This record gives sequence, C-alpha cells and structure tokens, in this order.
Amino acid sequence: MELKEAIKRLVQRMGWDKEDNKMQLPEEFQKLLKMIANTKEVEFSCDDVYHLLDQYSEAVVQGKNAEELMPLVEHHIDICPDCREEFEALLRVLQASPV
Amino acid sequence: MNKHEYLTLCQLPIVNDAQLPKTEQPDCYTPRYNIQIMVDRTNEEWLADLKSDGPAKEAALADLRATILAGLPYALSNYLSPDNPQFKSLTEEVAQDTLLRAMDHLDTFEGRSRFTTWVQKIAIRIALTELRRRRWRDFSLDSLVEENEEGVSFPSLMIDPSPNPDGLTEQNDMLQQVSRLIEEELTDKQRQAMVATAIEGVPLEEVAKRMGMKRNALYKLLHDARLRLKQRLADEGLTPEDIWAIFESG
Repeated sequence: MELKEAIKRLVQRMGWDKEDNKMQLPEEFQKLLKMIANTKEVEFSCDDVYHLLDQYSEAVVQGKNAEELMPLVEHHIDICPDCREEFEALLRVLQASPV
Repeated sequence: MNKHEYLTLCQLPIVNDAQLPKTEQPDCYTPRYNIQIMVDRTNEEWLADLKSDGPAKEAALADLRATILAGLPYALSNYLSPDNPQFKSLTEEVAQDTLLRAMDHLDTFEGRSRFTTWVQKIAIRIALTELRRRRWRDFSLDSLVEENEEGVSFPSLMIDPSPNPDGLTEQNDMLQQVSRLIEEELTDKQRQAMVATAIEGVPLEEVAKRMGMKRNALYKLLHDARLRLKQRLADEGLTPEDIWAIFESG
C-alpha cells in the first residue's frame, strides 16, 4: 500500500480528521517538515548571504521591500539559524543608529 | 546615499548599579544608555583615510573602533549583557579583530551599503562565532544519535517508545515509517548533521567544525539532504504539507 494511502486510512480509522480529535506532531518533526517543505532547488549559501547581508539589512531598516529585492537572501535567512541570528543582530545595531 | 552622514555621539551617564532596584535579568537585554554614533565620513572618506598613513588613518581607526564598540551591546543583547564580566574583554577582542579583518579586506567593500554597516557585519560574525564556541565547547556529535545495528539512527527521540494506552501506537507507527524513509535517503553524515542542526539546534558553525568542514559546505550538505527528502516523500505520493495537514492541531 502506498504510504499516503496508509496514512489516510489510519487517520480515518482513528478519527484524527475530526475537529475535536486532532493530533499534534512532535515539535522536532514539525520543524523538520517545515524545512523540507520550504526547500528550493536553488538556494543561496551562507557565504552568498554574508556577502549581501549589509545591503539586505539596510534595505529592511529603510522599509524597502527587501524580500522582493533579494528573495534568495530572505529564503536562506528563513532556513539557516546561524545567518538569521547574524541578520537580527545587525538589524538591532542599525535600528539603534538613526539614519 | 547622503554625501555626509552625521550621527551624534552622545552617551548619557550610566546609572550606577547600586541605585537601581534589583530586577530580573531580561531575556533580551535593553541597553541602559542611548548611543547615537557620530560618523562624519562618507564611504569614500572612510576608505581614503583608512588607506592613508599618519593622523588621518589613526583617527579613522579610532572612530571605527568606537563605532564597533557602540554597536556590540545591541548586537549581543540576546546573548550577553554589558553587566556580564565577560562582556568588556569580549567586545575589546572583537573590536580589535574586526579592525584587522576590515583592513585586510578593504578592497572587497563594494559600496552597496554604508561602510560602517559593512564593518558592523564583520564584528557581528566575529562576536557570534566566539559566543557559539564558548556556548557549545562541551558538545560532542557522538552524544546525539543512538547507534543501532544498522549504524546511525535518526532520532528515536521523536518517537514515543512507551506503551500508549490511548491507542496512539498507530501514530507512532506512522512516524516510524516516515523516519525510516528519512533514514534510507540520507547518508550517515547528512543524518548526523541534520539531527545536530535541525533537531538539536546546534549552530551550523559548531557542527561544521566537528565534521571537519566549513559552514558553507555544511549548508550545502544539508540542502542536498533536504532535497532528497522532499523528492522521496514526493515519490511516495506524500508532500510535507500532506503530513502537516493530517496532524495540524485544531
């Protein structure tokens, strides 16, 4: 039996599709599934993002549509916790300095 | 970009700790003083002064050091309070290393941002690298996964091994099927890296070091792993969204 079919039958048998009987995925599993779901064929690497991080961060602080201007940077920061930390730290510095 | 950027260097008096009521350490530190940074140079002026010799260069280096030190409390506010005894020595070390690295790489500055933003980026990378090293110094990759007869196992921590009187063993069975699928698709290295970073939250930098590679290479390894898993799930007629939808909490 295909995995998908097996899961569907399991869900129906256990009544997990009923609103008052929803199950919750383990948190680690949720995190992993999210990452897999968000995976793209082409992604920026950490080095690519580091190269553009100053430009990207300024665009965010200035209210420009940075996600549209640099979608691959935005996507990488969403997936990579190390780069996200560095981006958020730079954002805090820039926000503390009036332009 | 403005030809001249004027930000006022203004440091309000630091309140003596003894005068403050005792408060709990906030999760996110808010600096007690407000600093605005005076940078009276354009990007071109920064580069010209730093590439020169003599007083102009010395002044530029001093200003740049002050800029870095003023920014670090904000950058590190989620990790280290200025009240922490380690703060001063860490930030001094970071400022020094940042100046050296910036001077070594001056020719790579492309002018797509303010020069000070570019330098602050370098400072943050250096600072967070050091904080991660300190935080995870006792961490070992070997502690993460249990080995079974087949080798490295994907985390059994996601599967509840205990008897489940509510009849949820079927849920566990399903999760085990998906976990087996994950295990079959990934190399040992990929499984180890994925457990460490995605499940245990170890910084990529720290995992990469222990696996003998650069952070960039580890990211690419993990990207390949995620692509494989996505494809395998699709081959099974199942997208991550399908699994998510089945289990989504009400």
